[in-house]
Amino acid sequence: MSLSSYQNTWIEMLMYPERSAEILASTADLTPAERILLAAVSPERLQTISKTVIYSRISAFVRVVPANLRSLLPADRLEAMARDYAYREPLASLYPLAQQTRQWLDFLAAALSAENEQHLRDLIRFEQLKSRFSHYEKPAPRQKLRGPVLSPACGLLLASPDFAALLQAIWQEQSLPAYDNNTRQGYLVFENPEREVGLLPLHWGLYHVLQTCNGQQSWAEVLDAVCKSHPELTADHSTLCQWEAYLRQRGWLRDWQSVA
Amino acid sequence: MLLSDLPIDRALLSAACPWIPTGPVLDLGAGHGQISELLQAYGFPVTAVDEDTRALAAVQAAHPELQVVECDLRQFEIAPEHWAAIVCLNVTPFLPQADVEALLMHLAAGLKPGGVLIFSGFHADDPGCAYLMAEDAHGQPAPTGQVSLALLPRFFSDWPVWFAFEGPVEDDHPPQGPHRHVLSQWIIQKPEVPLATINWSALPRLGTGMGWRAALHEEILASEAIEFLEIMTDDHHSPELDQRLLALRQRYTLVPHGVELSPGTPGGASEAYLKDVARIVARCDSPWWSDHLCYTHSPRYRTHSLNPLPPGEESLATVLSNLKRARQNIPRPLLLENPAYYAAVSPDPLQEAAFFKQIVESADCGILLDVANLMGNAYNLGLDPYTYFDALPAERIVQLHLAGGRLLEEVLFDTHDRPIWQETWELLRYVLQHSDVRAVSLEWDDNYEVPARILEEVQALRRVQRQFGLRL
Ligand SMILES: [Fe+2]
Ligand SMILES: [Fe+2]
Repeated sequence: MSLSSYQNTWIEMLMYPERSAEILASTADLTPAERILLAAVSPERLQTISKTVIYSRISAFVRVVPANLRSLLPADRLEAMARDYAYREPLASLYPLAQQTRQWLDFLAAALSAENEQHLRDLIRFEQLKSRFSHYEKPAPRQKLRGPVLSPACGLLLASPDFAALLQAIWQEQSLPAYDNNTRQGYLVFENPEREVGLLPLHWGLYHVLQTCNGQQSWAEVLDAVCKSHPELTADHSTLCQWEAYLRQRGWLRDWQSVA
Repeated sequence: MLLSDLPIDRALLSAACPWIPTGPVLDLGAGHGQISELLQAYGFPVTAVDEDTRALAAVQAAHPELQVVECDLRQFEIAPEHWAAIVCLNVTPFLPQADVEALLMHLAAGLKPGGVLIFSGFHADDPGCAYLMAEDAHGQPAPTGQVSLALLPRFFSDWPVWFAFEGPVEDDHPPQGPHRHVLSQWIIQKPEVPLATINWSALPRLGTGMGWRAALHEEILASEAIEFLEIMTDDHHSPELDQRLLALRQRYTLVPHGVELSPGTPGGASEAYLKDVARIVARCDSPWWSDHLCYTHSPRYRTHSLNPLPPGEESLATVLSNLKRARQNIPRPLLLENPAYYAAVSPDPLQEAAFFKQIVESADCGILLDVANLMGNAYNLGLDPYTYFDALPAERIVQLHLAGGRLLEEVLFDTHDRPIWQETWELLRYVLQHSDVRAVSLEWDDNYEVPARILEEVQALRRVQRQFGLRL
């Protein structure tokens, strides 16, 4: 275990250079030669190396923050949050990128907790959805499901009714619109085969139906269950029923899952 | 073998593209060319074969870039180990059983290692099997040829099966209208050939290149100095980026260079990571791939830095075991790069050179010598770069990296955003005179404001490389 200890100790000394002597002294599992080597690095040199090693890690996290979000966050604030994340999650990696970025963005969303930062949290959820979009899956057997599920080219988002306007403003580099932080609106976020992202505002009943689809029930069964728990939707039953065909035709609903 | 509930469809074929290695694709029995079109549009050069003159003429008119061959499938000679993928969908009903089995043998032989077979044919339960749909060599009607998944062990015994389906499929076309077929289908991959002992002097000479960076894409394409491109393996794990690599590969030799192999970490990289890299290496169809002799993480911490490994028995055993797994997953020559050192990891730097030599010789790896790192390490650790170089096995040095760095608080960092140092140029000349490198590339990772200046650096590298003995 000496090699692991050596590596743990060296990285820990780089993460906390001001405590390096203490760290070295408290590590038992080192050979005398390793101990001499680690002790031989001068405090000044350790500080310098530490700065670049920490900077590399922080900037790796900063780099994967989607440009939309980065454009709204002051660089020093984002860096401070990345530093915080790097220290709290010393084993967090960026492989596989989409999955690991989601965890890091979850952390950001939790850190951006002020009331007037709702637009940033909405944007993070939007970006996390986008990172899941995929048009490519290694061929694998497909298992039939009892009912529909959302395809991996789309996802559900709950955000402010002003979210579409916010996105427009960011894309067109205009000043941000007034943002309703309290009302929530359901959207279907999708990516077409040309890789363009679209946003479809959903009737709240439809949002619930889509949210309930898990492959275990048919559309009609899901719809019945949702109408039962929300009787005020009964009047919309037939309209909601018709959505199924449209969603299937767009490729957003499917009745199977890939089993690798 | 896990059976699919659903048959092959267009979406499945389209989604499969990133896992088809680089190379030509054959569509046997292309019919109206829908599959040929899909694969060609993705970026593969496709040959469409069919005996239906009219259908083929229409396919060719719509897609002049497709190679179209009009003949009986039995007349088409499938060159051995040539095809990256062969698609053969429902042509077997028109072949007698003996010809079906001969075809399966030809398909197996025609794929290159790692190549993918996408196949569908009538199962014995298909209603068509009751008829004489096939034609023998003399044009006489013969019983419909049949296939089943039971044939897989006979013709494709050790091929990984990605997808297998056997069962009824609804169909609807004239003259029958709606009707049912019973199909056997599979998507399987020809096994890669394990890597034998590498003849390092037989590797191709790639000349001068640079790391591909999105910010420099246009300038790179326009530059005559660039003879090959290095791509960052770890920027290309998403299959969504595969088409970009495939397009670059049409024009350049690509060499993947990674930073996350971490051969010095006990346990090393995950199997999933190695499989991802294998896909990227297959896409680049590169003569070698590379990463660093370092560790990026320990059991408790992960960095995004390449930390040098202390020489020693445990390091050696760890690296050799990790490199063995890498080689099993990625059967192409691996080059290890010397990382930048900012603090000593052994009392004598020459011990590191000896360690490097021992590793590349024991693991049958090559060396990607970063000349700028060597110069920087010399500066930072006070070693003599020429003596260090002389201690390395010159015959294993396959590729060189050049870059500029920055001095921060007395330490020289490999920042890759400055012109190459004068001392590094001198060391480069020495290295070129005393080794037989196959490729030299510039690394440039920031300060893209004056692209012409960056490409001039590549041009200068090319001149030096030509002057000091690179034979192309
Ligand atoms: Fe490198
Ligand atoms: Fe390098």
